[in-house]
Amino acid sequence: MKKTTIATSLPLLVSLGAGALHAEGVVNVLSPGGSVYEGGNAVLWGPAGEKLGIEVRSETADEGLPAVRLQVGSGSVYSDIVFLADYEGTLGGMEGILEPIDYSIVDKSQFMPGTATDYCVGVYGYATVMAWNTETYAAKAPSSWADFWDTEAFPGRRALRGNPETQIEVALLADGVAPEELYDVMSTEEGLDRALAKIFALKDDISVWWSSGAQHAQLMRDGEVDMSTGWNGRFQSAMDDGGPVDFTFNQGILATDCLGVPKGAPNKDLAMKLIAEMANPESQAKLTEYISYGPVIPAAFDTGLIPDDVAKRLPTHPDYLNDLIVQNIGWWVENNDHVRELYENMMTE
Amino acid sequence: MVSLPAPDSRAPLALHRLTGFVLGRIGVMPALLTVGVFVLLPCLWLVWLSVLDRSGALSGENYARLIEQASYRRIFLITFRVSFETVLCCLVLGIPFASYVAKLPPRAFGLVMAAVLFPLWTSLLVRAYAWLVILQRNGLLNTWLQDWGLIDAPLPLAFNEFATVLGMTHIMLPIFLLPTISAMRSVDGNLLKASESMGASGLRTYLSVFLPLSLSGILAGTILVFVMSLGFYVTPAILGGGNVQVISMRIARSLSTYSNFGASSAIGVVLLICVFAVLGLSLLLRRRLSGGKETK
Repeated sequence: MKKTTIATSLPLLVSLGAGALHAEGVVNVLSPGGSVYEGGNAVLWGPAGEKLGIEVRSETADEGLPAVRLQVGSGSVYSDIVFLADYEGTLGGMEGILEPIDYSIVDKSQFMPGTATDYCVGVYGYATVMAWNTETYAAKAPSSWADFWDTEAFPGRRALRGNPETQIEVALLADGVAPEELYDVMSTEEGLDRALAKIFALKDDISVWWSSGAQHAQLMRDGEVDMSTGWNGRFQSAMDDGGPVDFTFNQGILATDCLGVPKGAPNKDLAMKLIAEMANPESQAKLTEYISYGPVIPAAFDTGLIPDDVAKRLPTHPDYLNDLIVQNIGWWVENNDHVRELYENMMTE
Repeated sequence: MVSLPAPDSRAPLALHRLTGFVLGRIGVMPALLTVGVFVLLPCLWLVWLSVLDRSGALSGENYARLIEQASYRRIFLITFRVSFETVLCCLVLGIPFASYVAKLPPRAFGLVMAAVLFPLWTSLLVRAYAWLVILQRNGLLNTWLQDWGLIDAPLPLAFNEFATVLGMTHIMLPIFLLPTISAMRSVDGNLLKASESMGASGLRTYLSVFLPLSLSGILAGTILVFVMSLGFYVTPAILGGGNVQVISMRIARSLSTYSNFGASSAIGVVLLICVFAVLGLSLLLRRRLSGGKETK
C-alpha cells in the first residue's frame, strides 16, 4: 500500500511543480498500475502533457470501466482519461458513460483499421494465436487454424478457451470462412451453429478448457497439451522460459487496450488534445520498451526506435499485418450473453 | 420447555423459574440476531435479487433461463454426480479405516487422529496443484508407469472427473472420518462381546452389531461430505480442467457474463433448495432407521 502511495505521489508532485510555471490546465489520467502506468508516464501522457503545457495527474485503478461507472453514476467525475480494454470502451459507449472521441482533433487515419473506435483510442494490440509443442510436431509444424482441427495430420491433445470470445472466430476460420466475412457469418444463427459444431467435433481431442493466460502458458510449457489457443505475450514468455513452445501470428485475432474519456469529464477538451498529442508513431514505438504488445499505429515500426528482434515478437509488426484479423469487439458486446449460453451448452453436452 | 404456573405455596421458586426463563430468552438474543442479520437476511436478499431482471423489475427470466438452457441441467447433474461419487469414495475408504482406528489404544489413537487432521490445515489450492503435479501427462505417476514399462502412452489422469473426485475425496475424507470415528468410539464394547459370546463370527458381529450402532455417525459424515461437495469450486476448477463444470463455477461465470446479480442468485437459490431437500431426506432416513423410537 505504502509503496504505491509513494510511487503515485512522486510523479504527481513533480508534475505539479512543472505545471505551476505554464499550466494550461489539468488532466487526470486513470490507468492500471505496473508497466502501463510506468510506460504511460514516461512516453505517452507524460511527454504529451509537457509539450502542451497541460498538468497531467496520473492515478491508478485496477479496473477501468467499473471506476468510470462509479464516477459517472455518483455524479462526481474526476478522471479525464481512462485506460480501458477495447471491450470496455465499446460497452462504456453503449452504456452512455463515455464521451465520443473527437476525431476532428485525433488523427484516426494513422491507426490500424478498427483500433481507434468511437469511444476509445488504441494504445497497443495483443493477439489470440495458435501455439504448439515443438517436440510433438518436430517434423512439421501446424500453420493455420485448419491444422489445429486436423487431428489426423497433427494428432495430439488440444486446449481451447472455456469462453467463446475469440474461439468462435477461430473455429470458423478453421472451417474455411474468409476473414472479411467472419462477423457476417457469426451474426447468423446458422453461422454460430456452424462454429459450435466445429468445436464440438474436436471435443474428444480437447483435454483442457483454459480459463486464464497463466493457465494456457503453463499447459504448453509443461507439455500437458500439444496445441493451444492463447495470447501471444503468454506463449512468448513460455518460449523465453525454455519451454518447447512456438506460435504463429497467422490468422491471429487482434484486440486492443485503449484510452477513453468519461462522460462529463471536467477537462474533456484538454483530454482530447492530450490523446491527440500522444497518438503518434514515436510514442507508441517507445512504449514497447515497457510493454511487450504491439503499436497500433503502423508507422511506429518505421521510426527505427524498435530493435528488430523486439519488433518481430509484436503482433502488429508489418510482416504479420495481413495475417491478423482485427476483432470486431462491438459484435461481442452485443452478443456475448447469448453466445456464452450456447457455448456452455456445447461444452457440457 | 415452557414452565407451568407453579402452586402459590412455591411462589419464590416460580419467580426464580420465570427470571431464568426471561434471562434465557435475553441471553439467546445476540446469537439469534447474528444469525438473522448474517444468515437469514442475506438469504432473503439472494432470493429477492434472483427475481429481478436487468432493469431491476420483477421477472422470472433468471429461473426461465435455468429451465431453457440445457447446460444448467447438466451442470446440476454433474455436480450431484461428482458429490455422490465423492461420498461413495469416502464411505469405501473411510468406514474400514474408522473401524480400525476406533479400536486403537489411546496413544496410537491420538497419533492417527493427528495424521487424519493434519491435511485439513493444508491449503485447498496447494493440494489441488499437488495432485496436478502427480496426475498430469508428464507428471510423476505417468512418468513412473512409463519408466517401468507398464504403459506405452500416458494415461489421461488429470483434467477429468476422476481427478476431480480424487482431489475432493482427499479433502473430504477427514471431515467424513471425524463424526464416524467418534460414533464408533462410543459403541459399547460389551455388546460386541455379548454378540461373540453368543456364537456370532467376527464379521457377523461387525456387520450386525458394530456398524448399525455407528450408523448415526456414518450418516452425519455422509451428509456433511455430500452437502459440502455440492459447493466445491477450486478443486473441480483446477483438476477438472474445464471438463467438469460444477454449479459454483457457473455461479462465478454468471457474475461476469451478466451485468446483474440475478442470474447467479437464481442458481444459488436452486442450490440452496437442493441442499435443504437433501437435509430433509436425511432427517427422514434417520427417523426411519431409528424406527421412530428417537422421537422425544
